[in-house]
Amino acid sequence: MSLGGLYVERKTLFHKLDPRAKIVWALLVLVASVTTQFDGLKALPVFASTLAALSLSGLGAGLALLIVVNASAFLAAVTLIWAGVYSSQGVLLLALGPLRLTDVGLKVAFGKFFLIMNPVLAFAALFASTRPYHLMWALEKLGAPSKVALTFTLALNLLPSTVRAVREVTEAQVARGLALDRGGVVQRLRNYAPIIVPMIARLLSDVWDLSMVLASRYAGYARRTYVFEPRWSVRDTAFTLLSLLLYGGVAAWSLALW
Amino acid sequence: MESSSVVVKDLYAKYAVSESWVLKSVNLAVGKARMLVLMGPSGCGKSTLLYAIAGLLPWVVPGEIKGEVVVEGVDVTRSGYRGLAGVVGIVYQNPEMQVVTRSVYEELAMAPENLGLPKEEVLRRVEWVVEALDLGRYLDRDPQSLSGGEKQLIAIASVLTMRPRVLLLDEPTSMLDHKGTRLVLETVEQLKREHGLTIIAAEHRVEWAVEVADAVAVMSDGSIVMEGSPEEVFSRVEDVERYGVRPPGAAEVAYELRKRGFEVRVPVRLKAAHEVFKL
Repeated sequence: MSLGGLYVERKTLFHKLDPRAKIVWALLVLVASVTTQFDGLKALPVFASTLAALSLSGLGAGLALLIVVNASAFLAAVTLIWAGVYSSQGVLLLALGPLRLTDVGLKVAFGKFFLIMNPVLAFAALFASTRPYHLMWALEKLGAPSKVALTFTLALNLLPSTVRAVREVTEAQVARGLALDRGGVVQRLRNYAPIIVPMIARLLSDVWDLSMVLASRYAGYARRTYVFEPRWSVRDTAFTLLSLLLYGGVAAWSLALW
Repeated sequence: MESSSVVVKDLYAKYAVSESWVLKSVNLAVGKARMLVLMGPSGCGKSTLLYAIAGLLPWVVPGEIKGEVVVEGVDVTRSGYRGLAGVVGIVYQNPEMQVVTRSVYEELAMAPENLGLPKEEVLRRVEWVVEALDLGRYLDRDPQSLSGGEKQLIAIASVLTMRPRVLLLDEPTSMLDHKGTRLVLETVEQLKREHGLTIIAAEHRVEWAVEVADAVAVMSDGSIVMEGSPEEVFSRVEDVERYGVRPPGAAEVAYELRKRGFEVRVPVRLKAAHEVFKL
């Protein structure tokens, strides 16, 4: 098992940034997304910035677009819900039977969509470009207790291992004749039982082994020394100031502070 | 007993989920820089004994222990594993679970970093272990690209950076192929030979055990039922087999010959087998 998790080894500008600067940036994206949740248009600059971040982290904006396309069902559901809620406000754009889509409903729908998508993309860029080691270091530097930083990093980095475990267990059960696509909806859900049980058993076993390894390496024993400490540079200051300017501006615009 | 590195007296141990004792009245003494190999069938209590010696049971693994465990003068039943920082290192079976970072260097530095040692000392220890085990060729590699044997080697090295005086090995080769097994076993031999570590290993490769161990203990149903030098233990082929342990091949052959009326000594080590079968 690797606790490397979501990290992707690259030599990009985003990888070189101090992890603290990236954490602050991701939190600013979150704040800006919250403030723009009722106006998708104002969330667009934030979305564009997360796309840029993904490109700068070497993952490419294509990945972001792929995530957005995969989330189109979510976007459709969000649009329907908010179109219903705001059907009597704003200019009518589309009327399809009981569905009345207004400009206000559409803006809110996109705002809610980006409320989820932008932070997801920002944190994806953060985790993909920051070594778990440095993430832990940064969390501790930002005041998180050592055990909290370790637990957060472990939980985060166990995600890909969990996905891998699900895939392996599924493949093993399918090889034994399990047919996941047979029957109606209820039957199909039932078909997953032979996957869920061994998967939970395996994850528990993995977590157990991991806790033994970490205990015997004295994780949480003392205030941890970090041999590889990133250094805050002018680049980090410039990045943080630019982020503050951009997302502060977006937030102020959304809250109609001018 | 004074020169003993590890002393276990009348030890009983069980897990929180166990109904009865998993270890029953275990007594053991391992001298400094000596190597003891624990043998026995699955479920006989080898791992449990190692967890108790490492202070993991009941401090990390929920359970109960009764009796005395003293490691390098530390009363483990009182201090738990935290009292053994820098004294004991333990390596487990599964190499996949023991390499947890994204670089070999990070992996080697992890334990001394966790102990809060000064940066210079952490670096010194990493450099020491890299040189001692000739790990330079792995430093630039992603640990996940290493083979099982190489991962286990890194896991051993990661533990050694704590500079333990006692090394516990819980079947470190049971999940490895032939090549990986050889790599790990050669490393263990080197550690014993060159670094004077006290080593307690649960290991089922009997031919290897008899060549390198100073003593062998056979466990059965939570107790140590046979103990002594490899010759003392494995020359009693019938007893060893009764407890579910396969004796060395040479001893097995000699034993079968004796049963058929041939007057041959039962050799345990390879050198003795060579002498016996040359005749």
